[in-house]
Amino acid sequence: MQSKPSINLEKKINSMRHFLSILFLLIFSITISGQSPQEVFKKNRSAVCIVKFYKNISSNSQIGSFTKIKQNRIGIAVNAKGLVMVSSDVYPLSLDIVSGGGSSFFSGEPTDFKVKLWNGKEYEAEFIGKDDLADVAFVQIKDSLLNNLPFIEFSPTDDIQIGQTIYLLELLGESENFEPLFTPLTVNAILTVPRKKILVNHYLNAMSSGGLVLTGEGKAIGITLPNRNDFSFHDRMDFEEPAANYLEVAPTEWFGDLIKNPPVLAKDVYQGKSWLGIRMQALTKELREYWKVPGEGGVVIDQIFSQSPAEKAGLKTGDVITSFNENELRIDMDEDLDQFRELITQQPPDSKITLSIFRDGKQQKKEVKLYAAPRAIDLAEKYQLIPLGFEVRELTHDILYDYNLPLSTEGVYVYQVDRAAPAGIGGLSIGSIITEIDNQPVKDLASFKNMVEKVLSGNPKKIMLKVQVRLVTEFVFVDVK
Amino acid sequence: MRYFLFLFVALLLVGRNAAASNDVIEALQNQIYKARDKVLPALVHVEPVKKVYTSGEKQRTLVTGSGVIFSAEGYVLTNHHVAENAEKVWCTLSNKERITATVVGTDPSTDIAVLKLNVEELSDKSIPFATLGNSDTLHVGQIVLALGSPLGLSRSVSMGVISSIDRYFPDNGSMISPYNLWIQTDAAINPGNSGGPLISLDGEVVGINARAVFMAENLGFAIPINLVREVAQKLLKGTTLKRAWIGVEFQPTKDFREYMEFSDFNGILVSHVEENSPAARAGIKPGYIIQKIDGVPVHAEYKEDLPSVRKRIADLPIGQEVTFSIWYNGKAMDIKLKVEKEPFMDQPEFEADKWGAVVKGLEWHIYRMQMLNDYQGVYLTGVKSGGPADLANIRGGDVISKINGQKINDLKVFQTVYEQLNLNGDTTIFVELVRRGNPYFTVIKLPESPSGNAKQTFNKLGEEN
Repeated sequence: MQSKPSINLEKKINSMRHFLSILFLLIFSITISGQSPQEVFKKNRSAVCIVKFYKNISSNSQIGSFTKIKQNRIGIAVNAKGLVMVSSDVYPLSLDIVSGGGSSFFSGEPTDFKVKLWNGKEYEAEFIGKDDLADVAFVQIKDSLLNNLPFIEFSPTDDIQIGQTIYLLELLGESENFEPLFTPLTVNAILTVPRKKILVNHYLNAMSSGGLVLTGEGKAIGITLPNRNDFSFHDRMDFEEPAANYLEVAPTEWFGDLIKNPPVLAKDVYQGKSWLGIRMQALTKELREYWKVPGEGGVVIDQIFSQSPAEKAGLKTGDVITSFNENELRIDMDEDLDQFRELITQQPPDSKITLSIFRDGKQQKKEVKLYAAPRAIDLAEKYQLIPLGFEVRELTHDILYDYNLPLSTEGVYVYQVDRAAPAGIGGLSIGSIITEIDNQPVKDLASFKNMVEKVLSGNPKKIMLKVQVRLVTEFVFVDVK
Repeated sequence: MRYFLFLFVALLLVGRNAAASNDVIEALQNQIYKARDKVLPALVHVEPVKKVYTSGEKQRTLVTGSGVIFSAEGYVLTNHHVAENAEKVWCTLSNKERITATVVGTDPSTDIAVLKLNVEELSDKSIPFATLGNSDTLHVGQIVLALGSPLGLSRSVSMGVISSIDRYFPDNGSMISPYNLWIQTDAAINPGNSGGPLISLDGEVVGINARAVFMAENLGFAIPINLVREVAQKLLKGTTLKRAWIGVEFQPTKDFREYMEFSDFNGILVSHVEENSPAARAGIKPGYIIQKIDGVPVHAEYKEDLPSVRKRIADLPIGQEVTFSIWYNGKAMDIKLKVEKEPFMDQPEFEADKWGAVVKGLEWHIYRMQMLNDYQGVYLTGVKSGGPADLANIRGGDVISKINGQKINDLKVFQTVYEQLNLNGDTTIFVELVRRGNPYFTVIKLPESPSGNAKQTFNKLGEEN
């Protein structure tokens, strides 16, 4: 009678062993093939947060006043001390003349940043900086006591393959209470030109771009990019292209280094992206044959900006750049010029590059020392004349290059005009350059400020501004009374 | 009772007023008939077959406009925008007889053209013509009739009053009118009325209807007949008008007067001086006030005064020295300069059909847009989609500066070079363009000759039709 239970026990132990071995096998197989989707979600959920801020759109009522629009974005904590990565569209001003990323004259700087964590805790935060080419910006939680926040470490994407399962970890919008949105997807395509990008099919729309992209093993490999459908127009309306209704993923390589060393937007410290300082076109097959340029493509220089690295290196209009750091360029249509831009902007400022130049039927090498692109008008020093209803800014190089004016041009740039205030009524328009007040030449922003203050202290009825609107000059009379 | 009495008196009064106004209406009606009868026989329904250059190729189109005969020889006034680029002009007279006319001359700056009826085609050689009146004596509120073919509906008459006699349009956009103010009327004017007469109740032509405002009602604009008469007389002497140019743009002085607190200060404020112009070479600068031209005072207080000032300068003798009396910063000075012919006037267009492109002499808007600094070159008004120029990435608005290394100064040079290339059978053409102030290089590849010849034959067949 006693043996029975022991037999039973033995049976139980045996079946238990069996079960355990299956369990071990199971656990083992998961560790080699990945984690369960639930685990991937749970492991990463707490590093995904909400970045709240106000977008400031210049209001019609008065120069210098803004209409505030509440905005939310998906943020990803990237270190334990509260550094949060978010899409660069939170900061709508352009930084320098090669980065782009600026939206309009009507945007002010964003304000009132806050970060709300997965656990509902909300912290004040400040904007640190952005990189438009990487499509990311950084905000820092303002709480010095934070030092053990869950965060994401991104991994390289070299082994990502088409067909591989990946997961998107995003958030829904405010009306869905920012609930997490988790989507298993497949890598559908990997683009390499002009730089690596992963394309995936797309089902549910998240609150914003900047969502976290994870592999089956739970490794973070990228973030989602803003939907390109919003910008589905072409420069020339003469060709058709199917709508791009897929989701684009920026891989770690775009921004990985920035997490270690985030860009800082302190106006006096800001370093622009590297630039060469040329206007260019592609070396088409026809041009290549006509000029008998060896190789399979290149970049034709149309214009050299003054005081640019290209000018200093002695490049000339009409030169054909055929290789970059000994790598042959294969650019033969204007659409591919981004590849060359990419090569330049990826170089750290102050680095040296070697270009092969084809000039007058001969090849030659040119060493070019790159440096940072000039700052854009969006970041220029400003002065607002609220009673007269206009804002002027320091004349920056981007404006002078655009207007084909010499860099020695003096004056201030009219950045904003209130149509219903005296300057607007007098006919002052956005984009013009003020060169004189009351027959006195305006040198720069500081002198303009002094002159205006002096002129206005005399209580005049009108002031006379000489302005340059593109290439035409005119006078604008502003009623001061 | 009292109420009824009141009503009776009121009715009486109304009746008497009605009788009086019936007389007035009848008189007015008769006046309208008289005016109509004086001008309607001279009204012409104009249908030019025009060359239009769209999207880089020449096309033909039939348009409708109006005109008025103003002389016994059969000269007809109409608009430049009706007659420009006309290959053939059909005119239907008020007796419904349809004959052809030739274009004597057109002037884009005032939108005036003169046609000559081919009177030998007429069955009745006695040609009715209208009398041109005086637009300087018009009054706001004066009753006028507009005659013409609104939307092609020929021999239509509409009536209204003069709403304004000094309407100013800034000199920009495609419809330029630098030298005239406009008569504004609420008489219905629609597309097709263009070139038709605006007449007074005396039956005299006081304006040539030229513009209506899209999506607006009762806003029609006519060119004052005194300007029309002057331009027509010049066109009868030669096919185009030559205007003088000094390279200066002006602003009225009203604001400047107030700014300086000079209550009686006359002149025109120089706002812009074009580089490489006679004025720039003579040292005229923005901010100068021109007070006299050759001793005769000149003044523009309001913007409405600008067209007559521009016209005075345009009428200066080309090639001769003129003295400008100038005030600047409290100092008076005289500046002499030699007046030149205005650049970019009457630029011809040319279809480079083998390239799939239409080329035109430079014009101001292109000169400015492309930030050019000399007055030489030609530009592309359009490029045919899929044609050799399009494939070479050439766009409308581009300026051609060189072809195979040769500088292209004007359309004549372009045509010579283009035709030489065709003769040579060249199929690879290196073109240097200017695009927004910057060079752009390209190579036009033409198809090898067999297909090129085929296209030529096809075009020839087309032209013989």
